[in-house]
Amino acid sequence: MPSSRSADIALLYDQHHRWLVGWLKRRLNGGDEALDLTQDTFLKLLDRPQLLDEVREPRAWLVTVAQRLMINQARRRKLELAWREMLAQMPEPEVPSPEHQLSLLQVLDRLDAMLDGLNPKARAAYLLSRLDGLPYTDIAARLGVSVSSVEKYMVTAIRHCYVFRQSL
Amino acid sequence: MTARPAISSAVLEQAIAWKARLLSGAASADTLRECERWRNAQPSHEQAWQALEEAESGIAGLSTGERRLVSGTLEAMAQDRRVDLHRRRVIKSLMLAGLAAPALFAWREYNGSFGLPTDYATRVGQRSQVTLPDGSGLRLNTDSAVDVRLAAGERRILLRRGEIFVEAGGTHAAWQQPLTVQAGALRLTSADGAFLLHRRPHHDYLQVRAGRVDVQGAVQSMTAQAGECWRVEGARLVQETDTTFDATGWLDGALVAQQMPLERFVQELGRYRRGWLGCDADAAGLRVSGVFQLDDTDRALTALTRVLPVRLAWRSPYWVSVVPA
Repeated sequence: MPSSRSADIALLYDQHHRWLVGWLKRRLNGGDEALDLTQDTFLKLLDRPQLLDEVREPRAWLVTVAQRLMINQARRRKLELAWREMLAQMPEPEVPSPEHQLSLLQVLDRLDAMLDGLNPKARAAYLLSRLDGLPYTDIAARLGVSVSSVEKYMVTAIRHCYVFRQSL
Repeated sequence: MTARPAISSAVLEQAIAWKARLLSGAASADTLRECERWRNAQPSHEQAWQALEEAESGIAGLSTGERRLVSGTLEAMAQDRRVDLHRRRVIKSLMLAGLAAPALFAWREYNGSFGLPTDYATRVGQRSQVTLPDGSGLRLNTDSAVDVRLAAGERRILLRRGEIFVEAGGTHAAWQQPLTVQAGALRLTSADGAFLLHRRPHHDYLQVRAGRVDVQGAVQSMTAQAGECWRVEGARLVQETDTTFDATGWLDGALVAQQMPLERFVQELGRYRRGWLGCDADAAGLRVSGVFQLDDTDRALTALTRVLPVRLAWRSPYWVSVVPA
């Protein structure tokens, strides 16, 4: 990272760190969470210093990043809950080992993030096709739509996944 | 991230449209060929295609069992339904065409006593897949039957008839020992392999897709590596050199032929079809290339008449001959 950028990040941190913690505290229940989230926000910047180039209004920008992280955390908590419930309902011999569970959770997280923001029917069609391996006729019956609608949903979903991948 | 040349949105949209069409589960051989042609027409086409594949690479690496877990979790999240998840998954899998019987067995046996042999079977034209409690994936092709024995110190599949594809996944701590697949005098052992075994009329056929498989024949033994194909003819192990036919095509619901002798092709297609399907001796030597959908053998036969100088002689729906046009 060019030294000017790291100096910029340090400056940003000095000037806005406490303000961001305060802003987040007012919106979250616990102070710890606000501190963690502030930390994560600056970490993201350290990871990808080129993000600095898009900073015009530092505080507005920091809030946007922090909010995005907040939503992501909520999504991930919900996902972990669903995953734990899924595991709890499996017959014991089928339950994957702890390491395997963790790697699957990572796959889940990526997939879930990828499908985030996709319209619910397109998301459902995509999952039924790509994960359950169902033909469009079955998906159409399941979703109560025509086969040509299923194809349209799939077009939307495939495009969405591509765009997501490019944004990484 | 490495820089790559931008893909034009027009090409991208075409690639997406092809992908969506091919995933329908009802794509004809013609559609598959047209798609192939499209991909080969321009380097940018293939580039767009690969970019789409890459975007989905997270899914591609998952086994069938893992897919089921992942989709179950994601669907539960979307619907925020928390009732009896696992059962819902099983019921859902019952709805997959051709899967009803094996899945029902799976449900019953996995919740009941372990160590008893469990039978899975498919009828002619049926294919099915199950995830065994040890995490292994098992797929059965048309007209196939297996016994599965999972007990302390033993993971064994006995292929009684037909063809299976096995992914030996020792994902659970309780199932660390290698998986054994037995067919007559042939005994295969693998810890991490993905392989296909077919009991053919005159020999057994083994193809290893991933990992290693220890092969013990009646007298010989050896280790088969990923990518290798072997025939077991009586006591002999012989490397298979026939490349006119992709033996794993059925995993994708297709018969994939490349310059395959028509007689062999008809014989292969006949496995998925009730009744008698024959080939006239005068047409036997013609060569077939293409991808034919196994779920509709009538259509595959009709497709044949469009690419080769042959016609179908129907004596009844159960008695069909391919004869010179």
